[in-house]
Amino acid sequence: MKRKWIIPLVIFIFIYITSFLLDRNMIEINLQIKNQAPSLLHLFGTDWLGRDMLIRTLKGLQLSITIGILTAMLSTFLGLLLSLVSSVNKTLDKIVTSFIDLFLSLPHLVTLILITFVLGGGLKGVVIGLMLTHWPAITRVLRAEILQLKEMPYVQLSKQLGKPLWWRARHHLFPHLAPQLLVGFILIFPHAILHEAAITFLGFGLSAEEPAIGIILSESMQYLSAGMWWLAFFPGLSLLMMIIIFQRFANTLKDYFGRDRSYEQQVND
Amino acid sequence: MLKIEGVSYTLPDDVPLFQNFSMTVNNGEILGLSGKSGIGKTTLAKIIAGYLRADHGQINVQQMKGKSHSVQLIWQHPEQAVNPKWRIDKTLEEAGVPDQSIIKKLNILPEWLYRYPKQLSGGELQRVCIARCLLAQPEFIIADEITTMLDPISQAEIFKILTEHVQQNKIGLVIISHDTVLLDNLCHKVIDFK
Repeated sequence: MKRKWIIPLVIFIFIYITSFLLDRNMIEINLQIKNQAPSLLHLFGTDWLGRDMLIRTLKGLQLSITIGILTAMLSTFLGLLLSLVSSVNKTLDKIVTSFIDLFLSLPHLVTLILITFVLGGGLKGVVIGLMLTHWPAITRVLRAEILQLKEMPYVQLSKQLGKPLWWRARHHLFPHLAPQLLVGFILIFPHAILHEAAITFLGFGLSAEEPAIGIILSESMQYLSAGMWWLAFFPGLSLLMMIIIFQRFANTLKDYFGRDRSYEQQVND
Repeated sequence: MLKIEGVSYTLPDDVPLFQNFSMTVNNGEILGLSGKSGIGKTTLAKIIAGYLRADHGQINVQQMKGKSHSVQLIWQHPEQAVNPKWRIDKTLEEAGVPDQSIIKKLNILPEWLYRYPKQLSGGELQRVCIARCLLAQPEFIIADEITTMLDPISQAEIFKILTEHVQQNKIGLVIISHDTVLLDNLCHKVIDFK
């Protein structure tokens, strides 16, 4: 059972760490080997400046994954925070729900472009923009869960036993919210990466010298018609593979946490 | 002494459920409360135990901040009154330090403590809920239809333990039930709730 989620995790971390070990200076311009198709020497081929596409892809993946994990964590946290705020009283609940409706009624990409543009683009702009556009779905789920839990006799009873609010949130609410948080994180992660690539592709995101997958894809557009398919194919495929590996890991981890522990001997939770 | 004076409760759709209800429970007294379905017995129990707020009227026992309420309610459905994600020992510890004598008195076996609520039967779970209630050291207990889903033998067993404990520790007990025969057997006084 444990092996099932360990294997994709190891592959994922291995690729991520390898890209850290690669030096940025390895992406050097060498015009003598420009526009080469994939070969044993350059597995992913080279671009119009003779840069090795494998190294650029790995560096790009590193940046994309960092952004994905960072924004997924921030959005999930923001969702948890707002759902707790909405559970305090009716007025706050109304404010939070109208914000959810507002953000859900606009297409993600439009709000994202607006926020990133206002913040001046760059890594900071992209991360904040992604965080501020990906929280509504998870907040809605968590809010509904908390509303339901608050009506349960065992939660109301806890208050009558004199337990303070934070104790009830930690011991009664959190164990029920944790699976939702994990699912929310898993769902936001690929979404955030793809949106990051999309907004960079459109030119509002990261600056052109960053080795991000979105940049690589948008630059390759000009060369695709010249038949240099490898410029877009391999980076795109690698991004897809990484997301699939991550989802595989996260799904098995979710099953592992949600397993039936009733007949396990271990006593302390 | 638990004193309830002139309590009224109105439902959200402005229909009054009951008006101007008063009763008194002495320490060590066992009081029965009977009445038809849907006339607000459980709502009254929730008001006395502090779950709901009455529109009018006064109750002389209130919860102190950070302490458990001295009126504790035992719920009708034990499976809703325990957190399904907790093991039984944690459920008991929520009310206070588990007192072995109480646990033993209610025939709670040591191996149950490491189980989850769904691994116990309804009657076993209700005994756990009663134990939790007693561990909170209340001065008054409201038992709201606590044996409706049990067979007569378990019913008699549970009430025997509960009434003995209540008499020994001078706790006031209010038993809410449809079963007038049961109430006549157990209670010092029966109030017909109207």
